[in-house]
Amino acid sequence: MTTNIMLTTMLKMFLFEWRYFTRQPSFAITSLIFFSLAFATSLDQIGMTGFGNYYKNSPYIITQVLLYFGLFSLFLVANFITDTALRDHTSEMAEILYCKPVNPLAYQGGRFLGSFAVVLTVFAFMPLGMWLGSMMPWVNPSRFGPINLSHYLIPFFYLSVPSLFIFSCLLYSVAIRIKSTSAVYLTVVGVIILNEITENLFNAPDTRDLAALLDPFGWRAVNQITQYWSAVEKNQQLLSLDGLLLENRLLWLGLALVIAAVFGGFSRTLSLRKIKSKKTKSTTKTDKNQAKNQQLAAEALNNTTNYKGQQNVNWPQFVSRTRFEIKQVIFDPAFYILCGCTLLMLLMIIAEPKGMFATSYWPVTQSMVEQIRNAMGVLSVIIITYYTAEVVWRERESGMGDIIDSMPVLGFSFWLSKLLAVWLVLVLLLVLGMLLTIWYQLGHGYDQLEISQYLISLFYFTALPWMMKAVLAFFFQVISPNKYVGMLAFVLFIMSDFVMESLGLGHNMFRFSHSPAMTYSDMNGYGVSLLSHSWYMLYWGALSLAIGIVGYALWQRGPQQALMPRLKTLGYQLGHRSKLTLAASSVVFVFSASVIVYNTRVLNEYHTVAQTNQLHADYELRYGQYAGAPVPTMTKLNAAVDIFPQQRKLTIDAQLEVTNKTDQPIKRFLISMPGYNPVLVNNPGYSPIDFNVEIEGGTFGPVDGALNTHWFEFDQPLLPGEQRKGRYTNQLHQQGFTDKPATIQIIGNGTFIQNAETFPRFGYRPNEQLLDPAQRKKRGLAATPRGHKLEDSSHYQQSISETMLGLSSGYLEFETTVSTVSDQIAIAPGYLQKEWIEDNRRYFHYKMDAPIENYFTWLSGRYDTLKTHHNGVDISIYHHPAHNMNIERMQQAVKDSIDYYSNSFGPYQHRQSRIIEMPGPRVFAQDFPNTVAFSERSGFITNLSDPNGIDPLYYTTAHEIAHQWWGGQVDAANVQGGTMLVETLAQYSSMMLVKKTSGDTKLRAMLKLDLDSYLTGRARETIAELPLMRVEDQPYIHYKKGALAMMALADLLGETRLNQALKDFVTQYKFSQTGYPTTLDLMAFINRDTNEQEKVAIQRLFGEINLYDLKTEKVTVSETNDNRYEVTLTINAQRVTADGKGVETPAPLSAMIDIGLFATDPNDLSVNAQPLYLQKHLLVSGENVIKVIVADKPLFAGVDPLVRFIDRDVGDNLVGL
Amino acid sequence: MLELHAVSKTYDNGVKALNNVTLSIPKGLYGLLGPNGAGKSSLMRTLSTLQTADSGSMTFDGIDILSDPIALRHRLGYLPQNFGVYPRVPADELLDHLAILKGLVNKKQRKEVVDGLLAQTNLFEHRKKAVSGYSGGMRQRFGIAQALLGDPDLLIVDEPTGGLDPEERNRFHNLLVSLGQDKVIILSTHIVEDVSELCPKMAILAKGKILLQGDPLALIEQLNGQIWRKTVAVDEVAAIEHELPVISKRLFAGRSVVHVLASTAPPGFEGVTANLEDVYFSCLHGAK
Repeated sequence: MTTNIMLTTMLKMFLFEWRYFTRQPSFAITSLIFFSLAFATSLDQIGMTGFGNYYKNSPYIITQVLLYFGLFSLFLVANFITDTALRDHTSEMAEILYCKPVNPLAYQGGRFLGSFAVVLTVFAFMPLGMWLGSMMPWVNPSRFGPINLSHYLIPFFYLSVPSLFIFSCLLYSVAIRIKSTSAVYLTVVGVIILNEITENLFNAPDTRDLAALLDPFGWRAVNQITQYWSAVEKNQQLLSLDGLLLENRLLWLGLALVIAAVFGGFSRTLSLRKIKSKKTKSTTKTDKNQAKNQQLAAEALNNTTNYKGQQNVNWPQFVSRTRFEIKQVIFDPAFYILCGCTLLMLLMIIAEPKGMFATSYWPVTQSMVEQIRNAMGVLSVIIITYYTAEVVWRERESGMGDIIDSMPVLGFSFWLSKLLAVWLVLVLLLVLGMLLTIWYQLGHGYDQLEISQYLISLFYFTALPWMMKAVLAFFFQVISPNKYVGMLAFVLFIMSDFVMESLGLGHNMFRFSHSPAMTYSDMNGYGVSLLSHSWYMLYWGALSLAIGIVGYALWQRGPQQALMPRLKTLGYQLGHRSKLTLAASSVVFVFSASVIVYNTRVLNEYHTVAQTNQLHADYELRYGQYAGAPVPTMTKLNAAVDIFPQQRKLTIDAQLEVTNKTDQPIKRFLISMPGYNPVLVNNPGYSPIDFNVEIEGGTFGPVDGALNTHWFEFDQPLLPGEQRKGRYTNQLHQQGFTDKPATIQIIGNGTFIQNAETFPRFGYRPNEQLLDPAQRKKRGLAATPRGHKLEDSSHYQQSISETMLGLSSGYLEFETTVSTVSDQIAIAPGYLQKEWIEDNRRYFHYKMDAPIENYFTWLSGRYDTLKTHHNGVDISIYHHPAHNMNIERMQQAVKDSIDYYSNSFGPYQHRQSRIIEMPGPRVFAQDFPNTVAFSERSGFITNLSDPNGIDPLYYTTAHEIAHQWWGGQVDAANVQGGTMLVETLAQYSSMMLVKKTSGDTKLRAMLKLDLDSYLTGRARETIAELPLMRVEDQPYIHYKKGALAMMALADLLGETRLNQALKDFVTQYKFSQTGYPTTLDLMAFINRDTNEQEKVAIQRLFGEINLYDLKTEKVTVSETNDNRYEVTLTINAQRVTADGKGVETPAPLSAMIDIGLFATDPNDLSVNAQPLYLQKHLLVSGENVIKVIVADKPLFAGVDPLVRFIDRDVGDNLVGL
Repeated sequence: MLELHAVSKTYDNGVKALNNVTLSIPKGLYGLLGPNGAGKSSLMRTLSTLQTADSGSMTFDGIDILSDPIALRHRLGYLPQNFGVYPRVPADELLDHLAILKGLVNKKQRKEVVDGLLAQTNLFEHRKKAVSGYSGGMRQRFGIAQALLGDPDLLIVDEPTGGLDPEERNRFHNLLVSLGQDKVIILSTHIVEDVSELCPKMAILAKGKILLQGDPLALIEQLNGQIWRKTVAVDEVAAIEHELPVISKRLFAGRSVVHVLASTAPPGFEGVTANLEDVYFSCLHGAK
């Protein structure tokens, strides 16, 4: 009976709550917003950047979108649930309601559920919108798969519903306990920050399971589950509610229920909250004090109180108001919580390694600044959203509005003082971050603090745009009917940024308060980004000022008024001065806009993604027919290059010689201008008049408009084998600034420019074709063209190789005279013949003693040099004077590399090896003949002081030096597998060196990361994964899988056998003028003395895509009679093969796989774990039982302990005993 | 001093809060009497520059309130009917802050004013405590203190004695009277006693319209000889109401005391001296 009554009450309460909310405009507005956002995703123009290239209605994408908007749902929950929790209180109905004889559980529970149902309904408009959208006639069929309702329901019920419930419980409890909306929103902020912290803390592959569990949204659990899913799986496979996902959901649901049960007040008898009798500090006043107080009061009673207020005291009023607002914000627990969270998050991020292979940088200021910016990126939006809502609505929420607003104070004082308070919070948090990183720098013995860099990067580049966003957020709050709508509108506005690019509005002029990315490098400072940022800031500043003025004119004064009446009085509220300021800001806005347009669109070209795609498509449509047409090869070059770093200008005047290496006469051929970014498009201030190619007996045709392509017509066809002389001139002048970072970098200090950026390219260039399958389909192009088949021998000989170099390749005689300003050193491949100064410029004449690949560079900078002579080779490191931390290590790596490679693969072809530092933001190293360009961020500032860390600098250096053999001595034919010959073999060489110098434990740690990168890379493949020997320039295959496969091969054949095969391969194809090798040739060398079993294993590694699942299920250890240990391992082994789309087929396994026993943890890099036992055993599909007897007691045991096999879960390979 | 001419205000939801209000208010205490929902607070807020009127004009001592609100605010003291305060701010600090907003920028003067007003409102002892923690009466006194900052020439107090106990109320009344010499003080209330005790001038507002205005004594005088009283059983009231213009009825010792407005005494009724309450109720009765 009583339960019956209870249920009825509960139901009534539920319905009451439901009806209450569904009548509120915020219900309709929010539902509509969620619906339209979701519905809009069906439009082809809305690309979901970062969500991958899968069907828009695939379960994967729907899940990701729901999870993304799950972040919004926090605000949704906060709004509705808080209202329910606090309404009795705020509407002062509590006294009436609480005297009714209601069961608290039925009453509170019913209302809670009613409100939760409302939240669910609003959020359900999201999947509904996507579902309806997918059925619209305008959808691009190539982006949509079959419609399946479960794709929407599964993520909604597995992820959204539990998450919404979890947050409802949490926020309801907070609201009930603390009785404050601010506390609820603060909790929202806390949840987001804590989530960021756990994400940063546990994002190493080993701890991702933990990170997945700790995410209340369930997002990381989903990502962890789907991280290695192929495109096919992402398009079709539904999440199943088990494993990590189930654990995550149960953990958080459980936690939420506990919180709700303990703090939700569902079982408390309804009563008014006791007014907290806050103990003031001096409650125990002495009588004496009291007497004194009374005396003071009596005296005060006689005070004159009728002083008149002064007029025109706006300034002191403003100061007082500002001080007050700041006090309200700063002396608030919320602020301390926020500071605490920020510092915690920053600490996590600083402590977390940033470089390759989980190594950290030296705490140089640029890296500290970057980490503060990373830590506070999302946070700033949250802070602005939260504090703006707080300060704008403070008077109305506290009930003091009428008193304050009737004070003789300018609206402007209120407005600006509040804005200043929010600005101060932003600035203070940055200052706090700065102090923390300075403390960190000093703590790590780094005392070059570069305060000015901190100030410019943090305040001019970071805080200023945030402050403008705060102005915008103010405006949203001012025009919103309540706090919640204002917050939602602002957050939506910020988040809308991610569709701007796909809408063709990716130019920073359309993205509020954005500016071209800050580029800072120790070598070159801010470069042009300081200038471009200034103009954009002026532009956005003028707009912000205008928004600010209008916002203040619409400011709520007195009882709340709807927007319309306030709009009517706008003109009056603005006043004369404001109108003038508004006019002035419009002028500044228009002026700065013109400057930006002139720089980014007139001086330089700007293309949206769609325009760029169209250009690529046009190129293919117009010139695709000439693919494979014969072109001449450059066989001799003598280039005069003048670099003007300060003017950002470079001129080239090159004498050249071309040869027809084909067997057909050449009547005409295509010449592309050297491009910048995207490659076809001439970006910075390029003057085609200066671009000219002359070859004897022919004419250089006019440019073909936007495609930057010319025909070169021979009057006298260039006959097979014929050589002719020619000349090439060009001038590259980077003028003004660009909106997207220019890839070409002729800069004040550290210019690095390659021939691809400076020299014309001959022939049709297939790598300018549009690749995205959906984009091709949309433009009526055939399926994405692939590389030439490995077996297609017609490309073995051809002189036009696009695979690695993107040029008409072949060997050429190289000579150059390069000049630069007098305080810089200019470097190019070759040996220095002469150096002189002329007209206050410094000249260098370099000449190569033997033909090199058509692959060269010019660099210029202010360098210090570290030189040595080692076994007949001059080794020099040219580095930024302040970056001398790692140069000795680098030198050692060069020595070791040259020694090991010379011994293993044949002699080094040069007498010299130079490494030259180049500035960020580039993060890579690149080899050229006897020259390696190495970014400051790829090693020079890496902190190698941790003896237990991996040394990425050594590894990278070894890799680049290896290219002097792989690429430098042996080049590959333009067919599938080409990059394996160059990159995979360089990987092998450097990995072997790492193994020798650092040991198996560190190599294992690197291979684990490579394995993760390979598996993630293949999951993101948009076209098709290929076996290693057929790789088509797919980095995750030729670098990552390549490293694993080659180390497995080295295990299989042994280092000596393998290196001998490689050496013979090099000898055979070194500087080949007759034909380039393919992976088939390499395989032939490797397989020349292998047995059948080895041949099968090699085929699995290079010729197929195999995935293994090796698992140590059980290990038992027993002591034998002679004090030894018998270890019995039960190992489950499986193999599947996969096709290019990721469709897997079970396959039988029979392979020799390592079984290892260790006395120390192989995951512990501080000990180079020597195995007690490491032998290959034959493992077959299913369960294998292996017995091993060892002398010492093992503590870790397992299968494939050194990570040689592609296994999606290496975590279960080894078990601790 | 304060002149309102044909002021009207209609809210978005269609409620006509003020309907052609014309008033002329001299210096001194002025009572604005009206039942709940009469539009008193709307009028107070409009006078306090917190909202605008749809039509009409308002001037105070030559200041056009609608077009130059800041000028009026300099001379205004306003105690709203309901108000809250910022959390966690002590009384003296908050009053000091408000004093600056009022234009009291001289630090010494301000200190004197703040302490003086806190003493006058009997809050001096509690000046270091957060106003948000005050009891209803204390908070109301704080409201009075802030309204007096800067010696306003126009003091608008909206239902000021609501939460006050009789002693505090007396004290407040005395304060108002002492201030009333050279200010316009508008006291908005639904309690007739407040007006009769304090105000030499008054108006009655109902449904957004001014029903009556004048000197309370003169208004009472007009009614003298027309108010008749009878004490009857509670169940007889309905019959009397049906026949006679009953302006008020109240219980006394379990029986109903009925007041009737008539030129001659109805049978069984005795004459009484009219008071302000009779004026108020007869006025409201007449408006029905």
